[in-house]
Amino acid sequence: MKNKIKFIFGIFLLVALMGNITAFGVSSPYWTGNPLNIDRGETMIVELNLQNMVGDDDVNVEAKLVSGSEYAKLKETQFLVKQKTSNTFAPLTIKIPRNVEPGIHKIKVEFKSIADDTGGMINVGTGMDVSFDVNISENFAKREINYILIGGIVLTILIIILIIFLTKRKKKKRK
Amino acid sequence: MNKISISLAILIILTIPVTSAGIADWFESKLTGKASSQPTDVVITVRGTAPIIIEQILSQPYYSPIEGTTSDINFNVIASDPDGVNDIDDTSITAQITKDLISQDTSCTHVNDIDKNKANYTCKVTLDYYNLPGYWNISASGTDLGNKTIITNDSGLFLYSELKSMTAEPNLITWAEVSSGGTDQKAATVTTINNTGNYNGPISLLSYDLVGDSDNTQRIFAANMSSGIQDDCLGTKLENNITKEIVGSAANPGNLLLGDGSGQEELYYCVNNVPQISSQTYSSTSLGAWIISY
Repeated sequence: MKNKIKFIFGIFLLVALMGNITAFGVSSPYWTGNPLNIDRGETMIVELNLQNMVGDDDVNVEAKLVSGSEYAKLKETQFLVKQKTSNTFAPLTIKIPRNVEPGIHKIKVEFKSIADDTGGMINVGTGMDVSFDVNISENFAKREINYILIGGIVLTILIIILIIFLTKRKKKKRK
Repeated sequence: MNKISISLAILIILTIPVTSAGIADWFESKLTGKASSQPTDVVITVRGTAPIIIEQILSQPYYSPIEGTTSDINFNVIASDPDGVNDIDDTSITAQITKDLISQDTSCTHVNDIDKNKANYTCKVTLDYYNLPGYWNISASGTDLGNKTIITNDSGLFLYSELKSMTAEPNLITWAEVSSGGTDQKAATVTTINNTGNYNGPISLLSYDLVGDSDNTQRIFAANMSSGIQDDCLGTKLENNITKEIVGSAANPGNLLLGDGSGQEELYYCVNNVPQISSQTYSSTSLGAWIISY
């Protein structure tokens, strides 16, 4: 006689939990087949858009960068996506060094809803993988000119020259 | 005699039609048979002969679909006419977005005149959450009041992002009971996956072994289980802590409101071989929830 392996849930629990749904979404301007083209030395922030327009509950979402960590970085990894919202963003910074070889590199970010343990047999969560190619071109990004820094240096030099000039003038007058 | 003359003169004056043309004109018309002249307001609208120019289509580089609903795609059209903005037929400015065989038309609304020759129009179309991602072309057309030639500019472009989004219902997978050593024990629940975005591709499942709640040394291995799109226990074999693509599954983006299966997929589960294990509860509590993913 085979043992009967009975699972904890009864019909009541099953019915009570049947109505629950798990839902969220991630929108990305880049995906498999639509690569990000970028120059060497260029930095870009890709805004991954988290949405929870369909579900009836807030969703905790965990993000993990699983490919491309040499060029990409997630600023945050935990997100609370409130119900009926589509304005949560996960900024993914992509920074390409100037000395990297041109070519195609893969970026992959996994997003998972963190499912509450409802005490049933198998809890089910949902996940979305954002995966795209980064196509690093042979070109170099133009270096950004920091006009504020340059202006500050020029102003400091002018002030120093002015002070020297005024000091010398005072000394001459005293003589 | 004088009285008769005066009465006759008064009678003549009374019978002359009182018009703005005056007596001279009346006499002239009577004597010559030609119509008398009348002052009248004359308005002559001179329309330009140069056709309209659709100079620019200004759009955001990309728009995101919104889960389960529509997204507004707003853009502007700049039109000019060498004969002046008054020669542009504001009601004629229209736009169309197209991708593959799908297109949408819209009328544009005049926002303001940029200068004496150039005007700005705003246009809006809506895309559904299930419209496919990729580049959409924008073309804008218009005509003017003088030349009336319809001019089109199809240089507009925007990217409609990919939205990976779903609901999975219910959020539990359950078996009524399974027998130790048994085979092909089907789950009591089927997961319905609604694609609330526009992703088009397979569905994957990350599974874990089920650990005994009382005696955690005993497990039902994920490798003893399968998941598929049919209730036949012939689905994809699962593995502990490995994401497996479910063979034959498809996100199948489409209008869920149609209720014809568009945008839907169902996943069935089976314990193909139940090990010889003790009678207790086995669950995902220890190793974590299973994740259905795109």
